[in-house]
Amino acid sequence: MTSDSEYFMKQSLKIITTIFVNSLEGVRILKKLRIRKVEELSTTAAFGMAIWAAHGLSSGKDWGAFVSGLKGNPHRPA
Amino acid sequence: MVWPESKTNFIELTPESFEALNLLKKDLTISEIEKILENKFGEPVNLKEFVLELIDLGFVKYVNHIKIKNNKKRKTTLSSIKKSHVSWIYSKPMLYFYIFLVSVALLILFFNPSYFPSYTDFFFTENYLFTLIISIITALTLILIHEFAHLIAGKAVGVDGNISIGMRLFYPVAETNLTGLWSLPKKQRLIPLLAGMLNDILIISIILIAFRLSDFGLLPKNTGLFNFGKFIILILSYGIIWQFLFFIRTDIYFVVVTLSGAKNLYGDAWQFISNQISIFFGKTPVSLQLSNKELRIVKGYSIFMLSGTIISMLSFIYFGIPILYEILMQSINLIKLNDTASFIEGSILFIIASIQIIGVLYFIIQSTRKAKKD
Repeated sequence: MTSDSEYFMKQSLKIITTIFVNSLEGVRILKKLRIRKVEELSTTAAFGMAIWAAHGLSSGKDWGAFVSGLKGNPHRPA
Repeated sequence: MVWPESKTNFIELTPESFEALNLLKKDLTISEIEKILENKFGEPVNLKEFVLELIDLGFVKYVNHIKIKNNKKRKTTLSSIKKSHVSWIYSKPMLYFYIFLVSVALLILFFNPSYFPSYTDFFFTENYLFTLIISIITALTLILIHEFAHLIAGKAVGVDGNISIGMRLFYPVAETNLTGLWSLPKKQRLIPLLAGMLNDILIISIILIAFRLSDFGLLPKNTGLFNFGKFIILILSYGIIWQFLFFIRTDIYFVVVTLSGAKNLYGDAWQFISNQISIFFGKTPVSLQLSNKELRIVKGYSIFMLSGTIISMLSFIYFGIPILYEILMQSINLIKLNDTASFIEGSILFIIASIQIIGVLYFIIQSTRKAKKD
């Protein structure tokens, strides 16, 4: 690890530590009447993910073609 | 945790709120209760606001002996299907049978790695237009089956659900609301939450077993069907992997919520991050009022959530938007061409891209509205 990256790591850790220490101070328990709504449970399945993935993957290793999506499709008529 | 008869909302109360609720059951006026609570806790409380919130959430039946009209009723999909009709599907013997099927399929895959799909399996025919149409129909059907599995598994434990369309970040999704699961013990919540993925794994297993049986000559061999089978495995595998993006509220996220005991992980994690920003700018943060254990979980999750959301957003800006633009431009060019096949292809591509764009815009508008409301 170079000294630059070491410094960067140390600074990042310092920032993260500071954030967490601050957060502990930030959370105060107030004696007010409070209702906490519990999260809604909602299962999911994504539309079109497979299609999107295939368009991307079908373009192969070329990043330019990946961005162009459909262009790289091997079966697509020219 | 408390909930109304309709199981539309689930809430947690602080000991002070619980005390207030008990006092409300007695024949006391709001100002009388406020005085009692102020004496007890040493600071003024706003009971009127508390009661209004309870009314809004559908918890109050009568005020001064006048019945409160409660519109908080959740829609249910397939309300005619009852627990007794479907509970056998997720009974213990059936679950053992599913485990047996999956184990057989895993063995088949281990000895026949060629059955494992690759991205080229997406193009199961040489005809691009045909592939596009069939892939959309198949993907939609598989998504519906996935959600119906959640719905049926919910009914099997006595919880009705509602299937609708929603968004997760910029992903349009089908979703099944199973909030009523909160009324059940932890263990009973897991199967309905995992039912979609279990259903996907079972379909993959059955296809793999069918492949092997046809290799043995016990089922007729058909190259077209084999390719289509691999295509379905590919789509379902991708769907299963997607569920592990638990920085958005996927099925795996809800399993994590259930196992960790956090009650509002996603919302609390966002509030936690927002609090850090407030502290940074010297503003007073909003109190999260969490136990130490829940606060630790929220902190840990907030790192995944923030980094996952940022990476997803960046990849969407860098890849998603250019691909969408490309698809839109190509679809317009195809529509302009003077032949039917190109027109159909262009129209389908245009609809796909438009749905995605409308979804993203809807997501941005909703998020902004929610932020303003909060």
